[in-house]
Amino acid sequence: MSMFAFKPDPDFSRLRKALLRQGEPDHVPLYELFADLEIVYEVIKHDEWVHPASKALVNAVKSRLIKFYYMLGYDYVPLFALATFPRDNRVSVSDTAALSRGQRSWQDEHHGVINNREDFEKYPWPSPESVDYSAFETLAGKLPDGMKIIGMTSGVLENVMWLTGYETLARLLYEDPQLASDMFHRVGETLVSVHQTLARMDCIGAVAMGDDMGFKTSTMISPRHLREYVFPWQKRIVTAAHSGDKPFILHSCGNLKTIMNDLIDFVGIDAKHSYEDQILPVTEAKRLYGSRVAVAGGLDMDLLCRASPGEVRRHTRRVIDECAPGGGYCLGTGNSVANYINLENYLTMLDEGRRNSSV
Amino acid sequence: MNGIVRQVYESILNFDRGVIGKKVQEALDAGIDPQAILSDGMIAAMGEVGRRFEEGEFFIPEMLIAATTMETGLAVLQPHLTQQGVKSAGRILIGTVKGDLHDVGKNLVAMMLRGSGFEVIDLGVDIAPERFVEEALSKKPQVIAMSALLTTTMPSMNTTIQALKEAGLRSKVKVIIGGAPLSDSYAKEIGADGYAPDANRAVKVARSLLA
Repeated sequence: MSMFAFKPDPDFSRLRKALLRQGEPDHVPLYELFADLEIVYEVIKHDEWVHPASKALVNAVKSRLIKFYYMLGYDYVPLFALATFPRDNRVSVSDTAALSRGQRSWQDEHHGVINNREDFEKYPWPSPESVDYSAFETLAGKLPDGMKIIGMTSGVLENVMWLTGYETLARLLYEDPQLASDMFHRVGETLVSVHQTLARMDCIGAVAMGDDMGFKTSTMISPRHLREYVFPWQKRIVTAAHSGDKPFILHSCGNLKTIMNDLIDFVGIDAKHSYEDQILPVTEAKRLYGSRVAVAGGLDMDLLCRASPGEVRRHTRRVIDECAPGGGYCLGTGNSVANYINLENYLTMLDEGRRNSSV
Repeated sequence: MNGIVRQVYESILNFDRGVIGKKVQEALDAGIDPQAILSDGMIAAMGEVGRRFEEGEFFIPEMLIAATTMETGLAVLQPHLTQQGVKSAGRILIGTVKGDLHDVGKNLVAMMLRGSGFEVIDLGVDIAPERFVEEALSKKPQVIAMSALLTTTMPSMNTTIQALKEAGLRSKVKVIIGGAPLSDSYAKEIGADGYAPDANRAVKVARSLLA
């Protein structure tokens, strides 16, 4: 069976139109924060999945990363700006994913590389000038016509939480608020500088920032603290993106109900990505916020992991039917193309999405 | 409420880790019943923390610091409770399941349970089903609480419940679950006795199961 029975026709203006809610594109564009490399390598080795008429086009692509996104029908390639804040406070365990990477690692939530003022002073804060953007230039030279790069960074709250560990940040907010403030300042000003640079690059069509601010029932820190420490920096980052006419996509997991108005009205995001059915199904998010912000992704990760392909297809169709009319919607997973999702389910989601395509 | 016990209560709500130990000691020196310090000072305060969390006045950082403050005070009080033979509200074995290292939520549940008068045995993270069974056999808890953050690790909860059945323990222990990908329907699907979406409700579920 040919899984990709279509001719790739990337057109970043299609995605831009959706992100800026400028009407309904010719078909629903695809959006992901990123795909894990285990998925990328697994997909691109299946040359037989590509429609014979498209093989020459796909094989002409000289980058494995671009090839993955191109052959699946994306209008862009996501690329992280590897800034930024070095740290070694991570923990790991055997990866239980089907496409295992051996060990899976996570942030150590208890201990940071910065736990106090002395650590803060000793930390090797990177200068914005030290950030290496050469990967963008390399990738840009290999992009097929119509494709752009979406430049990405991790976020303001995320980076501070990673440097301190969540529990240390919780303590600092009450026991050393000046240090907390200084942390956000150092992280924020670096990220603003990086986004100013990304905004000036022609190869970049939009920028995205991953800044997980919520968990299942609430925000990671109070809305009061977010308004004091995080949103002002996020606003400056969005302003930087807009100065280069780049739409800004915020990826943030968790329950953000209490801060969505802040993100839309104050921070000024163009699109919001990451949805969980148990918190706020993407269809409900579109109804609630779709007139003010674009909605991206939303096929629940648990569904993509555990449901049957038939269920995924029916659910994808329902999401497209409810979210696509009028524009302002991009199809994708609820979080990312993680190595633990069921690959067949992911491809089924894309296939159902392409049935909406006129290409 | 006695004045010093009130100060113990308030030091938890004010996140005053540096003061609570002294206040507990003052209360003990004043001859106040350790059980009263625990129930009127600490359990009452943690109940208020839970209420404020549910009402959206407190968030995880506030809950964490309040619970840490409570644990600082409890460390001073615990020897006196033990000496007096004060019974806990129940013994709970808690752990994050195999393949999963996330434990902020699990730790918070453990602290809230301790602050509500339960004896909590925290096994830590990456706990295999056989370890839950082994510890349940030796520690004889009334409740086993399992946590998972990932869709890929939550099936270990089902495996653990099956292992408890095979060991003949299932009828002797209640099982509650929590974590980001979980739901009440998943709890029912795998035969758990309860599900809680957050630490405060985990306390309520544990209480109702042992009532």
